Amino acid sequence: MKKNHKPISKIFFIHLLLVLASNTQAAQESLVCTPELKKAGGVETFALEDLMQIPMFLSASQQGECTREAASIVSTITGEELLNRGARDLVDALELIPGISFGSNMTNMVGMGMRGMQTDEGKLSILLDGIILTEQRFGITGFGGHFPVDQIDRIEIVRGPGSILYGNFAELGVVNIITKKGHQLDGGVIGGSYGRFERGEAGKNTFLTAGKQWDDFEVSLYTKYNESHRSDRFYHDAQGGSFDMVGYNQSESILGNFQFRYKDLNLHFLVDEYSVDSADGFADKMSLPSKEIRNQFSTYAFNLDYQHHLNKTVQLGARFDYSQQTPWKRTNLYHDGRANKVKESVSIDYYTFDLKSTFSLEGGHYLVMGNSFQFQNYQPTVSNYTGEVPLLGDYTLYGEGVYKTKWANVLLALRFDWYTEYGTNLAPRFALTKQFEKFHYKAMYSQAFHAPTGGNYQLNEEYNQTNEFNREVSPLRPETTHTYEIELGYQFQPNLNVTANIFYIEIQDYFLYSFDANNDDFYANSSKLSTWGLEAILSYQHPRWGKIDMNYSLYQAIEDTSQDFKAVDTAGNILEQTANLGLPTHKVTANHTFPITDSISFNHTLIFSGHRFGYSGSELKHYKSVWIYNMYLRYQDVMVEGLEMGLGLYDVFNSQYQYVQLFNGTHPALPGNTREVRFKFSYRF
Amino acid sequence: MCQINRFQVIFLAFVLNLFFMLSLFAPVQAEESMSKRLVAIKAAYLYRFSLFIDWPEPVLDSFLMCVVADTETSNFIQLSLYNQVIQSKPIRVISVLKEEDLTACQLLYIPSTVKESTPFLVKAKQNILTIGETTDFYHAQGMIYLYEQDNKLRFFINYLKLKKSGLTARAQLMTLSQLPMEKNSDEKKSQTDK
Repeated sequence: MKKNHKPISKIFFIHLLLVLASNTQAAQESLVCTPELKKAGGVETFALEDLMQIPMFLSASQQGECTREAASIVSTITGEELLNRGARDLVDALELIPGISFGSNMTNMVGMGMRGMQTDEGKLSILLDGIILTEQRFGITGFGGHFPVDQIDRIEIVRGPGSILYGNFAELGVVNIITKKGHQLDGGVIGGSYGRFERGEAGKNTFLTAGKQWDDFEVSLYTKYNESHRSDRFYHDAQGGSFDMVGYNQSESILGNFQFRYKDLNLHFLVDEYSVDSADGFADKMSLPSKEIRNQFSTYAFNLDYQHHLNKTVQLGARFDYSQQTPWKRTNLYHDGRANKVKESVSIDYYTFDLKSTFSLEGGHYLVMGNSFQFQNYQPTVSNYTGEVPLLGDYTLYGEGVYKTKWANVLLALRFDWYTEYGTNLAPRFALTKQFEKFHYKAMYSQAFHAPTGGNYQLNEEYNQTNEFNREVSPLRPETTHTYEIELGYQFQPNLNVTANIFYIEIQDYFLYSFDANNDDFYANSSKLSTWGLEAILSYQHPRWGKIDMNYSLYQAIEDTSQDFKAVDTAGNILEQTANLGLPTHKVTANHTFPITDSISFNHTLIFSGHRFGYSGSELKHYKSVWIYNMYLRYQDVMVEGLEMGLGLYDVFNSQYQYVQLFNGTHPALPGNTREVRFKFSYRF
Repeated sequence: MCQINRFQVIFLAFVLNLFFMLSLFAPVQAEESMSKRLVAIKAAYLYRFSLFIDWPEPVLDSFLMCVVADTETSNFIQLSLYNQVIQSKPIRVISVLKEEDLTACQLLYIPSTVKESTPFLVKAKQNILTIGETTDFYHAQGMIYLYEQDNKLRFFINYLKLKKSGLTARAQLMTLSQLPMEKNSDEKKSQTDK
């Protein structure tokens, strides 16, 4: 009975808001959608020099860009907000986004969950200035001391599919890290940080960023080096073994990002080296005392991009991307006197050619049409697999158009993929959006399509060659995601905004990472995985008391054909139908920045993460809800102009978050950090 | 084939109702958006100018910005600067007419819609920062002249006029001041008036 009332009440609530909204008088597009404007909370916070760079009237293509951005559920974290919070890495930044939580994968790898689903296995695109950093082997992204957050311009997080524009890995979302460009830097910043847990070193990092613009020529550079430890607690495996994580499970990363622009021609080079050591191993038994496992991920990427403005309405764009990746290079670090040995390594060359044209009209109407060709040369260099992996290619035709009316911006988009190995697919997208004086709405449907990677292909072929049961698993079929989203927002006062959305996500033919009785792994398709949920954000700013952002997110798991993400007890009962493994159904965050003086600010963050379930071996474990409280004091222009220092205390309550495995892989939860003190400094020159 | 579930039904119902309700209630003017964007940028300029000007007397309860004969613009500027303070005092924005007393104003903004600036400049005597956008304002010795150049806002500071009025502009502000090109000023005026 109760279930039947829910949709009716929801529809009534939506109608009520619509009636209220219909009384608004004047249409108003976003004031903050040009790149110059959207980096900060409001244009009034800009320095005069920056104000003088803002175009008075937007060109047709800029208006089109504003419209496109409105047709997604996007959160933006500015570089200034990250500095105010004393964010240590991307995990700190993303934890404050509704619907995002973190858990573990295996071998000390931390992964992300979004809206109740694991984003590993090719469901999240992480980009740095447009270059994809998600590894191309399985589509998995490792978090923790990896991605840059110091002195960047902003991070844009799209919650919802972005496959039409971002391709194969953008099924559930996109995270785009945007560094500062030469004209913003006009000099450089050097800095670093050092942090300690209660019982050991937490991490240290150093970075340098510099840039300059001379008329049509602009150059910028970002480099960083980072060492960090996952925890200073004890790891307990499922077979009675344990080890002290002080001195184990550390990670190391080096990142270099160089950009060069001359007029409309952009060149971009990127190096990302990330290494994660693991003593916890793959599954329920730790790898110590005999060995540790080192997983290394490297990306060397190059991008060339040219935009030609044919006239006021037509813009042509050509783009070439090349990346060379060595993901999941696995080395055994033996403790028994044997020499270290590379156990597995693959080399992936990934090429993308893209040509597109954009037709923009005054008023924000636009049409983008393009085609791209991408292929992946996947070569196992150290492997048990003796066969070949075919050249995986994909030809894509895509189009997206927006027609703006007085009451709705109507977006229609279509992407057609022709894969060399996986047939064809047609993915549509449809959106109605509009911003009125104080109210905005969005209603969107998107389909995303994710074809298996070379890693998926190889693993199944390798399993067929080597498994002891002489089983043969079928090749993976592509998975398809359908997402429905509705967002409503209202500005109650100029300094008080509330936005809420509901979503429904359904993945068909889900890629399921599976094991046989000998723990040999392979992939299989599972027919359906779905969740629905809601996310609400409240933002308030006071001239004296600063800025407060609060959000609440909820997801409810609906279907999981495989039950691989469900908490199933030994009797076969699902303990909580609406929860998936490792991900809290409820999450609340609050962040407050208090400006003490013009140069000193205090920021504190509270994160509530609801209870979760996870496995340790075959035993089902319940993890209680946790409250995490962080504080950061930032002092700018200390004694000399440009010198900045900050002191942070993280996990003040010592709640000790656990990274619970996001699927049933028998791996016990990875302990997170204890209370941490970190000192940060930087100098602008 | 796919089965239609409850959420898909709700979504379709929402979209259909959206068309229906909005077509009944919300025929609105999209063109207004651009002008409001421009006012928000200009409000930011007014605020930033005020941070680099020293008034001889401290501000009492609130910093008063007066906008000539334009209630809609003054309301929008007030909204744009809702969270900001000048000399630790909140900002209040009001609309003023020619016959009103301006002595309480710290700043007088004369938008491009006001063709004759002189009557206001005559009344804005000591300690009032005047900011305007027309060539009439520029020639009538207003203090900060806002003008368009290459689709961007620029400004020129009449330092002598400022000093004569008892105000002081800091060096950071003066270095950004640019003299408008006279030969294009009429064109600029017409563009700004748009």
